[in-house]
Order: sequence, then C-alpha cells, then structure tokens
Amino acid sequence: MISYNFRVLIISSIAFFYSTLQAQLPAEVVAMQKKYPDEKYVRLVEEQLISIELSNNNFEISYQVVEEDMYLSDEAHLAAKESRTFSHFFELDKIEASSWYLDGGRYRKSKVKDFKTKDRLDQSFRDDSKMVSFYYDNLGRGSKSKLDYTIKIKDPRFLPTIFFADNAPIISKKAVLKVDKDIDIKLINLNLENSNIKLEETERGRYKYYTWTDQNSKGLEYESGAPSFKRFAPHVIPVITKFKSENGEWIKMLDDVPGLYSWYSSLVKNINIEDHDPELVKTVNELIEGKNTDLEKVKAIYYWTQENIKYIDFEYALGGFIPREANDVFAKKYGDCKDNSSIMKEMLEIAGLEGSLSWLGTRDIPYDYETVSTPSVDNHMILSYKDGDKRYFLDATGRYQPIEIPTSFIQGKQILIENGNDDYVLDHVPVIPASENYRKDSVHITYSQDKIIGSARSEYEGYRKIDIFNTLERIDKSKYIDFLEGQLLAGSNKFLIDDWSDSNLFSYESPYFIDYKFNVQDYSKELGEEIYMNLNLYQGVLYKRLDDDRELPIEYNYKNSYEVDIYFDIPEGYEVDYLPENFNHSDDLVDTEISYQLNENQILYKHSISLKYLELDKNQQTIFNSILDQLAQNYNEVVVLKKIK
Amino acid sequence: MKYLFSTLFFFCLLSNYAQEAPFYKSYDWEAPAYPSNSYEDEDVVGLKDLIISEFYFSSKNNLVEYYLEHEKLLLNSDDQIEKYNKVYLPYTQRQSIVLNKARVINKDGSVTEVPEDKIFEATDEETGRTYQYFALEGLEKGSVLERIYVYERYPEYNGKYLRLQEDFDKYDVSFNLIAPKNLVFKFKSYNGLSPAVNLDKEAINHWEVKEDFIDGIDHEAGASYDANTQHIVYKLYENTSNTSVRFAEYSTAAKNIDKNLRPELSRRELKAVQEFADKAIQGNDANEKLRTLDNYIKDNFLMAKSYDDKHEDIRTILDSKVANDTGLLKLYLATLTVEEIPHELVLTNSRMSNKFDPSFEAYNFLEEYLIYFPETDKYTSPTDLSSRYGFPDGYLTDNYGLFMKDVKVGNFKSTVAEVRFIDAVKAEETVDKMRLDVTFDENDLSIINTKLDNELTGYSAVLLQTFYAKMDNDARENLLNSYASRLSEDMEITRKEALNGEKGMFGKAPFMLNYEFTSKDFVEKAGKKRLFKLGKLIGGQTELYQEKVRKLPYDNVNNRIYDREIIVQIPEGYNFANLDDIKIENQFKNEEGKVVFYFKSDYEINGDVLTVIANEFYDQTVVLPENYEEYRTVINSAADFEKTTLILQPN
Repeated sequence: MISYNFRVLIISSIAFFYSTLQAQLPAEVVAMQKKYPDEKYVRLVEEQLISIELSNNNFEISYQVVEEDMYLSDEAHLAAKESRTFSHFFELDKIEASSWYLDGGRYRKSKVKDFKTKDRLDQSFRDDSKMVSFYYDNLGRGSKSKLDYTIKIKDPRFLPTIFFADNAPIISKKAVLKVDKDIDIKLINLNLENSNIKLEETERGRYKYYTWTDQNSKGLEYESGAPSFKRFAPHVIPVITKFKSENGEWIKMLDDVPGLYSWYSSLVKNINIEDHDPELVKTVNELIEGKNTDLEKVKAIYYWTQENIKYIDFEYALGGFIPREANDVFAKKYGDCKDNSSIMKEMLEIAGLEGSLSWLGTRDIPYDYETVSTPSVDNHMILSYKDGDKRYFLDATGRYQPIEIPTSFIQGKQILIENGNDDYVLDHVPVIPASENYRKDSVHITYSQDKIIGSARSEYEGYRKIDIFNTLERIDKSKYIDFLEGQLLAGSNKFLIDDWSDSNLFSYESPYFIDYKFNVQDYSKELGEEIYMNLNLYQGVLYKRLDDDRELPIEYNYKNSYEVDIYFDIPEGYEVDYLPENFNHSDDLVDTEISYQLNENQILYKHSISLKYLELDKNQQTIFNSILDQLAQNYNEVVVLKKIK
Repeated sequence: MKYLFSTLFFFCLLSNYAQEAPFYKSYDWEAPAYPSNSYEDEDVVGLKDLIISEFYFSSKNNLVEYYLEHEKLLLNSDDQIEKYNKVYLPYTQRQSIVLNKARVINKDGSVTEVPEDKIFEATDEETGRTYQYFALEGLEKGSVLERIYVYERYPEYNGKYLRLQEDFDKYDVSFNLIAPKNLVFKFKSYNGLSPAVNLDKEAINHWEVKEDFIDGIDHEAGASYDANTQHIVYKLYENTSNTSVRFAEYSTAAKNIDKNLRPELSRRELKAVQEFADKAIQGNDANEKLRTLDNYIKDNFLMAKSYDDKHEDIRTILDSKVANDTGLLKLYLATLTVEEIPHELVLTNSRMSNKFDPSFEAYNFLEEYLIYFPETDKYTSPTDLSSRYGFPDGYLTDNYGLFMKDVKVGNFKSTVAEVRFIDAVKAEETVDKMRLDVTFDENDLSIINTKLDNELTGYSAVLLQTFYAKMDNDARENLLNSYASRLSEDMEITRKEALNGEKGMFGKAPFMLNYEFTSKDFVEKAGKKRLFKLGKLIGGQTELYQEKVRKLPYDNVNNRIYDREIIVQIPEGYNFANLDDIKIENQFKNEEGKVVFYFKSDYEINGDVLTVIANEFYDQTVVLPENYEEYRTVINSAADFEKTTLILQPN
C-alpha cells in the first residue's frame, strides 16, 4: 500500500511540475514543442522575393529574404550570433533583425542595432565575400527571431536558388519570382517529386508572378560524409533564358549548354593573346627536350606545373571566372585552377600541342550540364588533352597526380570541354577502379619469446600513393618514422620499425616502395608446449564500420584495395597443430579473402580486400557492416603450433 | 587584458629633447645576394632575424614604439614554400603598419619584390582587427624570402615576451631595444639565451641580445614549447627623470584591474545582480553555493568574441544573455561581492605559453584570470565555459599567479596583491572508474556478455557531463555509443544509460555511463582453446614512443586516477593458464620519495570468479626530461596491460 501511494505522489508531482513549466509558455510554443520534440528551433516563416526588372537593356534584380525562427530549447542563447555572407555579385542593400523574447508570457521585441562587417579570409586567398554578423538579444525557450534582408544581384546569370528545406522544419514557406514580361524564364525543378510544393503562375501589369508555397517541410539531418544536401533537398533554380531588347529583338542568355558555353568562352577568349614570355618558352623547351612522344611532353609539362605553381586563389568579382595570363602565372609561380589551366594550355602550345580549357563541378555538385546550364553547375576548371582517342584530365591543383589519374574529387563528373572556335564537347571524367589504388604488403615474420620480428615491403599506387606523398611532403624528415609506424602498423601499437628505406618517393609514375624491419612485443603467446599466433596482423578495415543508425548515404574519396602476403617461419622444433579455415567473400561492393597454406617450415597467409564503391547507401551500409562482422570473426582465428615430440 | 594598459603615463623627458629620426627610417635591406651555403639538408633555415624595438618621443610627451623585424628565410621544400607564400600581418586600432615589404631572391640571382598594389587589406569590425596580406611571387625551392615590417604602436613597455628559438636552425639572430637615455629597461633571458647587454651609447640606451646561431628544437608531444625554449622577457623599469614612478608593478596592476572589473554599481545594477544571484545560487554551504553559481553563469550566456562595450555592461549582459570575457568576469565578481562571498581574483599565465616567473615582475605574465575561494581552497576559470568550479584550466594551475584581494579598513577600500603558488587539483578528485562483469556465453565461448559501469569525476567528467546536459537525443546516443566503442568496434550494446547528465549535476554527483553488451571481439579461437583478450576490456591505451632523447619537459594538463576492476566468471570445466601475466607494477617517486606516478595490475581467484584490478595514478603535472623515461614506463604499462591475453583451457 505504501509503495502504491508513493508512486501516485511522484507521478502527480511530475505532472504538476510539467504543467507549471509549460504555463509560462504561450500555446503556440507548447504546440511546436509537442510537434517537434527533437528540434532546437523551427523556421516559422521563410519568404524569398526575387524581383527582376528590365529597363534600357539593363537588369535590376533585387532579392529579399525574410526568416522567422522559433526556439524550442533552453540553449537558445547559443544561437544568438547570426551571420550572412554577401559578395560582389550579391551586394547587401539593407538588413533588419530583431528578437522577440518572453516576458511574463508575452512577447517583447528587441531590435538588433549593431551589424558588423568582416572581409572573409577563410574562403579563398583573396575574394569579395563579406560577412555581416550580429547578435540577437535574450534568446530563450519560446523566443523568436526575425531577419529581413535585401540583396542587389548584379549579374542576371546568378539568380538565387530557391530551397524548400533547411536544417530545421519550415512551417510556412513562400517564394515569389516577379519577372518583367520581356524576360523569358526557365525553372529547373530538382527533387520536387515527393513534395507538396504548390506553384501558382499569375500575371499583373508588366509582370509575371511565380508563387511557390509549401508547409511543414521536414528538417534535413546532417551526417558526416553524406553527399551534398542538394542531392536530397527539393529546390528550384530559376534561369533567364532570353530577354527582349529595346529594339524588340530577343537576346539569348543561358538557354542551354551552348548558351552557357558561349558565355564561358567569351570570358576566356581575350586571355593569352600576348607573346609568350621567353623564359616560359625556355622552360618548356627544357622540359620537353629528349621526349619522344607527345604524351611524354604533356606529362613533363603537367608534372612541372603541379610542382611549381603553388595553389593561391583569387576570386575577386569576375576574376573568379577568368583565368589569368600564362606569362603572369609563370612569373608569380602561383595560381588557382583556372590559372593552372591557362599556363598549361600555353605551355602545350609552345610544345606544339593542343590542350582544351574544361569546366566541371567537383563531386559535391550533383548537377549535369544538360539539366543545369548555369554557373551553378560547376566550380572548377582543368585542362583536357587528347592523345589519339584517349582523353586525359590535367588538374594541376593536385600534387603527385599521374596523368592517368584525375584528381579524386572530380571522378565520374561530367565535363564541358572547349573544342575549337565556339564549339564544345561533353565528356565524363573516369572513376578509377579499386585495383589501381592499392597497397600491397609482402611480410616475412619469425617468432621469438612472445615477440614477432619481421621484414616487409609495402607498395603503394594510385590514390593511396598520392595520399601518402601528400602527407610525407608535410612531415619533417625527422618525423617520418613516427608517421610510418602509424601507417604500417601491424599487430598492435607495440609495433616498432627498427630500420627502413624507401624508393620512388614522390615519383609520379612508379609505385612507392617502403622496405622495413620491425618488431612487435607481447604479440603472440607461448604456453607450455604451444605457441599461439594470430596471423591477422592487419585488421584496419574494421575501423570502417558504419553507424547502424545512419540514414544518409556516405561518400568516399576513392575506391581502393589492400593485399598482404605473410610468410611465417615455423620455429624450429614446432609443428602446426591447428590452422584456421580459409575465408572468402565477393559481391558488387567488396571482394575479400583470407587463406592459410602450409609449405614445409613456413605458413603462407594471404589476405586481400577490395573496396569497390565510391558511395554506400543505407542498404549497402548494412551489407558492408555484415561483411565486416564476418571478417572480424575470421580475424579472431589463431594458428596453434606444438612442440614436436 | 586591455585594462592593464589603460592608464597613461607621462614620461616627460626633462632634458635632451632633440632626437634624431627614428632608427627604422634609415634602416633598409642590403643589395640582394644569394647565400653561399644552400643548406640542402634542411627544409628551412633562418639566415637572419633582426628585431629592433625603439621607444621614441614623437613629441615631447608622446612616446611611441617602432617595432621592426627583418627576417631572411631559406626555403628548401614545397611544404615550407606553401607555409610561407602567403603573408598576413595583423594590426589593431592601437597600432599601424608603417612599412611592410618583401622580396624573393632566387638561385639564379633574380629578385622579385611584392608590388605595393598587391598588398591587400581585410578588416573585421567585430574584433577590430585589420590584416595586410599578400602573396609572394616567384617562390621556388631554394628561394630566399626576405621581409621587413615596422609597426608604429602604443608603446608596449609593461612586459613583453619574445621567443627567438624556432623549430628550425637560425643564424644571425639579434634583438635590440633602443630607448631615450632616461628610460631604463630590465631584461631576463631564459633557457640559455644570452643576456641583454647595454651597448653604452652616449645619447641613447641600446640593449642587445645577440646570437650567431640558435639551433632548431622540435615541438615534442606534450611539451610547453614557449616556456622552455630560448626567449626573453623585458619591461620598462624606471624613468631616471622621475624616479618616484616604477613601471609594470603588480600593485599598480591590481589597482587598475580592481577599478575596471569592479566598477561602483548603481542601485539598479545592484538590484539586477541581486536578482541574478538569487536565481543562480542555491544551497547553504559554500561549496554548494559556488558550484551552483558557476554552473549557472557558464550555462546561460553566449560568449561573444567582441570588444563591444555593450557586451561588458552588466545590465545589458543580463538582458541579452550575450557577454564577452570581460563582461562575464565583471558579472561574476559583482555577484560574489553582492553575496559577500570571500574571493580573490588571480592573474596568471598558462604553463603552456609564457609561464609565470615569480622572480620577474612584468605584465606579460598576467594573461589569464582565475578566481580563488579561500573558504573552500578552490579555484574556478571564470570565463572558460568548458570548465567548472573546483576544476579550473589545468594549465593555469601548478604555477605561480598574482592574487588580488580587496581589503576594507573602515570606509577605505584597497587592493592587496601578492604572488603565490596555485596548487594543481589533487589526483584523487579526478577519477575514471570502470567496473566490468564478464561472463562467457554458455553455448559459445567466443562470445562474452558484459556489464560495464563507468563513473567519472573531476577533469575526467567535466566536458562530457556539462555538454551532455546540452545535447539533443541524437548527440547523446552518439556519445554513449562512441564511449563504449573505445573497447571494440564490434559489440552489440543491449542496454545503455547515462546518469547524472542533467544540467547542474557536475560536481554534485559523478557522471555515469552504464552498459550491457555482448561481443565476439574479445575471444580468439586457437583450435580447442580460447584466447581471452582481457586487456582489451579497458579500451585502447596510448603507447608513448621516444626515438630521440627528450629535450623539453612533458606538461600534463591535470592530475588523475584510473581505477578499474574486471570480474570474470570462469566457465565451468575451464581454467585460465597464464594468470600471472596480469601482474604488472611500475612506479616513479619524486625527489621527496613520494610516489607520484604508478601503474598496478593484479588479480585474485575466489572459486570460479577471477577479479582483476588495473589502476593508474598521476599526481604530478610536469615531467622533467630526465624523468621522462620513467614516466613513459608507467604510461606504457597500461598499454602493456591492454595486450594481456589469457589462455582459457579445459580442466
């Protein structure tokens, strides 16, 4: 009886506490909390108004954004600092912000008075982006904030994208596009299939209005390694395809791929018309001297550029689209992707060869040129070179990048390549298979009193080699060994390298080899007449296990593979008592194998694993984890040696 | 810290006011010449580093400082080129850049100077900072980068720290301080740097520290680099024209700080602070009051990195919930004063930077605030939102500091300042406890079922426990999972819970993370036998390596204890063959013979129950290079234990 009463008392006191707590909050806040118990805030209102006017062949584009948020957590004060970024093409016209905080159950307004501007230095070395930041006053649970700003858009090719999802739920979304009737607009709809977004088109006076509305969109989750949110978020990219000029003639803008290309080509046509710097000519001639084939010459030029032109990017206004003069890049010894492409094109020309400027988006932009024929489709430039039928993709922003392998972040992407005057071709950058990005180990080990002593050779190729070179370049030579001990670790963290040497360090075209002698203390066990030896010295793949709760796909930089052969000398006077079973698994994602083979006084252990994916979706992640489970079990298999009687 | 410098001094040069132009005006680099030695084995070499700090009367009462640095570096690797090819020079409202130029000298004799129009500026209104920045043109392997810059600034004479040693070799290094004859500076050189010498010039004072060569010293793991490499500290000592004034004295600092951080509060302000204190402070005993106040202050404000006055005004802070560090400190002190809680404000510096030197009075040692509470003999880092009462930033402890106390005599209030030692928090207050109950699956000995209880206090708990309170459910779930997966990536967690993770619980109750899990990752199959990876149950342990002889001390942030117990139910019909492998014991005693570090693992058998302990104890933060090997042995004992594997065999 007592315990029963006690329970009632506790339950009623909790309920009472709950209701007094809620009583301080207005009903609309309580309702939101109930509807979105896991959200820190919701966006009550999000409005975008894009207004495009045309007068005297000039566009006047203004873009107004209104955002009203409600905070549902006690940690709301941590959201007090807000900022927005603007730039040369997106110039801030006016901005207003205020917070509404609760005072005795009523909202009181506090207007933001201070807006601080800063030139951003974290985007590129020098650009035109500016960040305006400010603080909302007194945010707490139930508080609201409202932000209202207007931007002048200075180039009609850069219309803002309308997104219908954000980190938090959007309760009421409205976007209006107001366009002069003399302007022709194309709407690119992306990921709208499963949404309830409504579009209404009306006309009033000189203008056509497109009005989108949407309610209660879900907040987008963030998960590390996930593809760009543009892959999932419903959005519309408006594009001006043509407009009627003063004299009644329709002028084309960004109608399609040819339209985009003709603008891009107009931006590059006036560069590199001056004579080549004699020093540049001299450098090219030195580089290609003795090279017998065109491809050999291209390689020499490509590798020289990677090494000698350091990455420093200037993205000031249209400078973000126009490559700099090759002569200038040569003198300064630095540049960005466009500058690298510019100098390589000219160097090839000096060598009597032809390279083609090429535009493309890195892997975080999920568009192709046919769907999105606007500057939103790309953010990168490289140089393409065709040798016979084979096309090579030269991206000198990379380092140690052999000509056969594109930089990892453009694999599989569509590419827009200049092709003579006013012509272009579209192609795709290849994805490099796992078998070409490998590490292969050959290890010989002996056992002595709970310790293994080994000598090994590790071979790296493809992206795995490029990665290791990029790290080694940044490490002080005296710290190489620390890095290698982490990189080559076998058995346990008692792995120590006694002696090592390498060959082909920083070589573009040959595999990188590390030869080393090592020991691992306390690795295997000896008891009585038996020795227990786990030959699964390399279990690193287990760390690739993915969180079971993960919802979104995960992206990887490249496909890759690993292979190891371990030759284990059976100690004298011992024989094999137990040899584990072999294991193999093969499917679309992963090939893996473990095998044991007894050869006289030696056990040959072979293990390989090939990761053949660039991305794993939710279902594939489950499959991948189950493969790791099987591997983990097999990694727990131990060889038993017994004294010969 | 700006308050230390906010009082103006008048230097009034009584005689000899007829100065020549400042030194920098006649200083320039020489005709470019490529060095004869190309130091091919080294990635970067300092060929010259000349610093001149000149204190100069620009008019009779206006003292300014011209700070010139002329540096020449030989860059021999792509990495070093990429490190130095972009140059940023910051300045604030209190200084301006009067000269900034750079050139690149290449092996072939070519010289490329950065054109003036390629020097850009970027401003940040919030921090009040502006950058001049440029990219160096024509850099290649083997290039010499030469640059000169000069700041004109509000004179920094109250205490300056200047490190001359780097992680690369430097030749031709000198530091010069030039001042009018009546201004006398004091200097102290550290870690083997030559002392400053007065060159005894007639019209001016000119002190110089000169080294033909300073060898590069590595950034060793855990090393307090700035404190233990060659550097100099200097300050203005006196003005011979007016010997009644001494400079950079702690008594003056204390007065200024008191005036600025504890302004007289209006009645409205007092009321607001009192209301705040009533909300924040709970309980009756001193510890409880201070703990609740500290938690409340750190949980309820956003820290702004701005120097806006509104973020320092107590009433605005209370209304907006946004404060900068000065503002939060003012609020903290006002609350303590209103509540009449005895306290002393402490200024010190991190052991990891320019460590407080009790034998040289200078303001550069007064960078970080602590509040000391004599009633409980505890400290707090008042503006470090990730720390809590009783557990201040560990790098500020085990260190000297300037303690400032308000004393009232009748109606007269004054501030007493003295240098005292700030003891580190004892190991016993930071305990990471683990209890594991392990049984083997009846049907499959390769599976273990485990109950794991973790109990964390002090520094081991503070971050987890205070952030847990603020996390959403997803983040809490992730934290719980990742804390358990320290033991294995391959485990099935069947139950998990965190206890005492609510706001305000830190310091009141330990943070507990409890689990039940099954896993196949702890047992290896060796034919008919099983190898039980007992050590793996304590999670991955750091193995400290030292390939070369340690040169710098190792600074631990705080003292701590790990207390682990593993109880294993031995399966029926089986026994463990090699239990004595569990026994590991290593310790280190300090000069007084007291054990300050130890690791000990041991076991007991009671029937079919095996009980294992694996405990670690660290009660000294700084490890001198000569004791490093012994420290390493203790640390690595835990890594040895982690490798302990027991052979499970049929009886």
